[in-house]
Amino acid sequence: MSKHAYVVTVPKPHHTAYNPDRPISDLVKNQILHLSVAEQHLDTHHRTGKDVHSIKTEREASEYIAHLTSKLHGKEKGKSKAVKKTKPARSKPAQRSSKANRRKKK
Amino acid sequence: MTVGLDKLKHIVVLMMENRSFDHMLGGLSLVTEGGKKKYPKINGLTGKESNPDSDGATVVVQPQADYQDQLVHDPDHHFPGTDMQIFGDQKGTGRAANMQGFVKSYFTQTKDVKLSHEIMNYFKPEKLPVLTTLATEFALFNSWFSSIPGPTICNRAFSHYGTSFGQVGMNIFYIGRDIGSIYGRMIDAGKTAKIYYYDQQSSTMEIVNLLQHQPQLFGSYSQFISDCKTGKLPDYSFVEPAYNDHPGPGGGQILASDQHPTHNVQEGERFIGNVYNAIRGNDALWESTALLVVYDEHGGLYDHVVPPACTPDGFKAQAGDTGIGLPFAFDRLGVRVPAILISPFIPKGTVVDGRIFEHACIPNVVTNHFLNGDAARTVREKGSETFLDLLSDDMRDDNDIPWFEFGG
Repeated sequence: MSKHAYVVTVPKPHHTAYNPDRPISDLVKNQILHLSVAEQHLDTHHRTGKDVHSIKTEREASEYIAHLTSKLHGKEKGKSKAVKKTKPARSKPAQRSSKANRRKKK
Repeated sequence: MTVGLDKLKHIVVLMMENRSFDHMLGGLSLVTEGGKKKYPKINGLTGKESNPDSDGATVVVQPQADYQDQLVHDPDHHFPGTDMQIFGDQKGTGRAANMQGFVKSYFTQTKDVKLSHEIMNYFKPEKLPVLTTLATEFALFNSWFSSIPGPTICNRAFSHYGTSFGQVGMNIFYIGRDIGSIYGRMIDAGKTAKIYYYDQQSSTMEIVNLLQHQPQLFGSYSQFISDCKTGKLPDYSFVEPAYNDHPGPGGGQILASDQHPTHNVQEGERFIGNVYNAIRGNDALWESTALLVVYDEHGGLYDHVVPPACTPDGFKAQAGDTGIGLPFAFDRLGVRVPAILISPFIPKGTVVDGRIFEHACIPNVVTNHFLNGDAARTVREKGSETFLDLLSDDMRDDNDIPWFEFGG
């Protein structure tokens, strides 16, 4: 029972909506191109060596994006060992907090 | 100063992707109650708007927009494509915008006359319960335009910098410029600001200029939720949706929530509702926050309003860069997009009419409110509209304020 008087129910997408094999859009293509430029400024051992033009699907893009983001954002996070120890997993809190984007595999 | 403005401590901007005003909210103008228009002040559709197709037939707007995969091709929204959508078949100088080229532009991609008609589809209001509820409960802008008749990156740049530094495309640019980002301006002045990207698999669109050089400006969406709960939200926050479908932890599935065609629009609805609820769920935060939900550009989708002229920002894109054989002086805006300002101090059903807004308004408002306008910025940003005058003296009753619940 909601504590709110004025409730609007928002339906969930159909279970077939998830499609990580969707070809990447021009937007995501450019996002990974931008990341590949930033990658050239990372220490050699942090680079992927990936040819970003070989990335075709959203799943492949998300893997590359995650790797680079963790390195780029990690430069700042790495300053706090406590944060690094207590929050090792990617986006788990988001999964707990955001029902909107949490769906179980069928 | 109104009570609402006096209480304002946080501004949050959620920028979605690639949907026009008429496509998402134009149907509200067709809703009737007791034989009369329910929302007469909204500048949406009459139901008679049309475009010619490539065979010369008239294609009228239809309430047949669907959540996903209807637009098989990502509709063109680069500068040349948008130019064609705005000016139709007209070329060269001295043209008059007529919004008659959307179907023909989409045909260049679909190569199928019937499929090209889908660019004229709009959503029935009941299909978008979050966006239409927020639009009719708070302040809906009749005239918020994308900053450039072009794609995402240059338009998002206006929300971060008040300019795209002469860019009309998706290129990497503006490192070392004199005009700082709104985040840098805030931090330099001892204020707080953050960009929250959804997660690392989705990341941000502000990579080369901000993430690479100022990673401390960034947080994840989980941190946004946590900051809302604990009352640690910065003075200014910019929230980015998930830009791709990807596996989640523990076998979960993360759907893109940006609403970029052909991503699922319902998932974006849920994301908007989730951001709203995160603020609404903390009483102290709710009373002291203004949330702006806005789309970066129209994504090639039909809108009937001709984009107006604007104050140039001092930059010029050359003919070779625009792709239309003409230079662009940043002296007119892009296609109209949905924009909604949310606060308990906004009277129900506010429609902002007769004033022109664009994304440069965002850093302008934040700079004026938190920094007394003290920052290096373009003439265009300085002269752009502000919107905090919409906050009134009266805080609405809690029972009068919507809450979203996410069904199965």
